[in-house]
Amino acid sequence: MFLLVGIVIILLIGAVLTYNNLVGSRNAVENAFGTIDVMLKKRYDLLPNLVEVTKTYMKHESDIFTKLADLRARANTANSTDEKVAIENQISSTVKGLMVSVENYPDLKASEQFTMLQRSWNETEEQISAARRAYNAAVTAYNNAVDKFPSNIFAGIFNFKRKEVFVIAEAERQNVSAKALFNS
Amino acid sequence: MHSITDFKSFYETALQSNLAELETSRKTIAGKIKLYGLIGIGIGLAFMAFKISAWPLILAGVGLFFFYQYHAKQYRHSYKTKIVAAIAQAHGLSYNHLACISRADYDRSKIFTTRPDRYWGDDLLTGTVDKTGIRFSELHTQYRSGGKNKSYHTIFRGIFFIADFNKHFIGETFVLPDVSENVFGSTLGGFFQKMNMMRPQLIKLEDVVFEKNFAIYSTDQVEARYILSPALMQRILNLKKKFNTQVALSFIGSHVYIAITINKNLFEAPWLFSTADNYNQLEEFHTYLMRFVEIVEILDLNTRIWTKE
Repeated sequence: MFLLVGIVIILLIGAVLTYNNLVGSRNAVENAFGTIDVMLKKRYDLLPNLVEVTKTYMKHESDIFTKLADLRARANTANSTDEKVAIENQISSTVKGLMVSVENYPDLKASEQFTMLQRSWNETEEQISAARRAYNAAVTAYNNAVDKFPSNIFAGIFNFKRKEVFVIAEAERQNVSAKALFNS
Repeated sequence: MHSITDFKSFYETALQSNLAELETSRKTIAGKIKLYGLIGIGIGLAFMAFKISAWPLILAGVGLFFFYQYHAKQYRHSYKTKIVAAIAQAHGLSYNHLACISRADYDRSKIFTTRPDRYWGDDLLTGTVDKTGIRFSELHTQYRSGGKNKSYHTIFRGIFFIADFNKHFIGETFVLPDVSENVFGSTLGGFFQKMNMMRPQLIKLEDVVFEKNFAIYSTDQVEARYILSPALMQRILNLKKKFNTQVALSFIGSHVYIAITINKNLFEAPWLFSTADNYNQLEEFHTYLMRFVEIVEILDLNTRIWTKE
């Protein structure tokens, strides 16, 4: 009788721990996603400054600026995560293109204000990529909990579903081709 | 000065004259010690032989010992200030053979959690490589085990290296040799890593080779990844490969602290009774210094494309 009670108690404790682990790792994923949002916001705030500084020098690149303004407006209204990510990826590659064309404007390149902005931009880019990696690590830990025995039983019962990791968009995977950017 | 041929020509132009001078004074002292030794021990033995007293021999031994100690110290001092300092200067470093990385810096790094009961070191080297300030020295720390037979155990012995880091950060991140995963395998070892109460959160990074070599802890999941970019992980692995020994790092307060285990006393003068002009040994000093200065290059600390100047 005591043995039976003991076994039940141990099983119960095990169940509670497994369930809590699942919830904990799901929350970690949400938290990590929140961090990406914060980093993206930081970069988003830099954008108007960058445009302001470069615009006066780069009279011939109005295409890029229109595109950036358009993207910024769209980012504001984007609802779904996928859409958000897609727009942010586009912002990334457009600004990368902008940085490449700066090579043609020695005055701008030498300007202290621009150098500082470029550094801040690099920093936020690096932080965003760090936040993405942190998110992916959290998702991997969560997915492991969902898939592995015995927690997969609870994941099934309480409807914990696998989450997708961030993948870099096809366009970003390719190196920025300066020529293609100038032609566009 | 990067190659061995460079060093050879430096040795010929800048070191050899100083070495020759040092060698002359060394020979004089070594000769004196031998002469006094012979006389002292001879007289002492004579007293013994005639069964007068053992005291003269003992006194001669003690006197000789202190005489040797005094001159050996002088010799070491001039060897270090003339020869080692010149090599350090050729690498753009200033050298102080009596100083070491301070206890405060050692504690700030938090690489070792055991409080040392003995702390000593020498051969402090400081300098700036392009934009990056560096300083490093030999260090040896020990703790005393309690109980009946108290004995000292080494916590760390080797080179303790501190450099400015090229990115801003506010938290604390540790890259430590992965002891538990090597001993217990990845599952159980990972469990022990997680349970380490002395450290902040365990960070799981995506680089498998890096994870096999190191256990990473940090106060901030994102910041740890901001510091440990994929490129830097590769570079830290290269660093470990280069030194082929245990390497531990911490990133705290805009500095990177690196503890490189080396079980050898570096930058020491040869024995008083052998030649001062030992080219192989000098070349070894040069190679070690080059490797330490190269850390800046290997970890790419001069790349300042972020907001930190």
